[in-house]
Amino acid sequence: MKDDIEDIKNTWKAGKKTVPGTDNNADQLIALAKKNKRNTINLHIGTIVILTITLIGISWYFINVTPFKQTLSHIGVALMTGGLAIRIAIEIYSLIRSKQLDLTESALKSSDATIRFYKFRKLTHGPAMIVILVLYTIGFYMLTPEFSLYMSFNMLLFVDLSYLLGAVPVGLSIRNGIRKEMHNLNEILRLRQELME
Amino acid sequence: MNYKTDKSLFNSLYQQYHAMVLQMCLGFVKGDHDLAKDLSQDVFINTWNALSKFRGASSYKTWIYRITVNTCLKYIGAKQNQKKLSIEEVNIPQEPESDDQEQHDKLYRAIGQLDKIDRLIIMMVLEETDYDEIAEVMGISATNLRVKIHRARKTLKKILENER
Repeated sequence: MKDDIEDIKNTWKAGKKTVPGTDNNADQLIALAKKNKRNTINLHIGTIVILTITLIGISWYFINVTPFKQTLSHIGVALMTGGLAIRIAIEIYSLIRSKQLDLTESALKSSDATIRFYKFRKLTHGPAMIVILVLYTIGFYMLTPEFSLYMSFNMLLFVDLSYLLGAVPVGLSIRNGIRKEMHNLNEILRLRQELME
Repeated sequence: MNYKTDKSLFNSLYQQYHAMVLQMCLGFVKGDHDLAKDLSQDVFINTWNALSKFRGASSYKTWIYRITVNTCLKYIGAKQNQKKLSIEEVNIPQEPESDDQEQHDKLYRAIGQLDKIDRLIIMMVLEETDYDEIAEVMGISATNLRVKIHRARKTLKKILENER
């Protein structure tokens, strides 16, 4: 066994001499690192900005364009804007948590932290997102009775059905998000198990 | 540390450990040179991003090992899914390879058939890293490490024998 490993070590050492150089020099890698970091932050910030603009737009619309009078509508507005506000808070918290993942820790510590992160993501991309979407939808349809006072039946039907059509892609995207997070979580759990066996 | 010092330190780490990291990545991705290049690039991007966190509690080599191991283990997302590898399809040479190169690629492919954790451990053994240092990088006990090394050596030997 000892001789075998020595032979393998020799092949490994000889292999190191033939390892190709890289096209990138250190300066290019630093530039790439900065670009990647910027893109990741922009992606997160972009989502937060879009959600915030939506929240402000909806709030402005409900306050200035259609100031509802019925309590049912007020609850509906609260569910819609509240759901969006929670979603924004989750995005911000997720951004902070993702920055805490430390690749300079040992493999065990790092995989434990990654597992905690993916469990959090599974929760936020799964049940939390579904609850938010359901609350938003209930909130939206709670506006229907008061809308019916100012809109024709056909227009109301069009608005309500359009919402449903818009909700389908969101639902599908949630399902894909959950699948992706589950795949990543299962893989890292399997690796952790492998580490401890 | 200021930007200029960071840059010069990164440059020196890159020159010193590039071959070690790339070779580990080659073993991890079953000898696929393109994937290994991508992965080693990720390792050094992560190294640059973490440079300010280096406190000198371990050597730079151990620190780079930790980043390499964690980057490889995190390499489970989109990139891996884009290219499902099998031992038959990886690294089919476009041009005739030298006997030596074929030997090295055979070793990378064999290492790539081990479990992911065993791959990383056996490559650190081949680098003649102290067992204490490997245990620290992996975050496991010395006893657990010895069991893994014994098992990985045995499996690797069997794979290489079968490939002869």
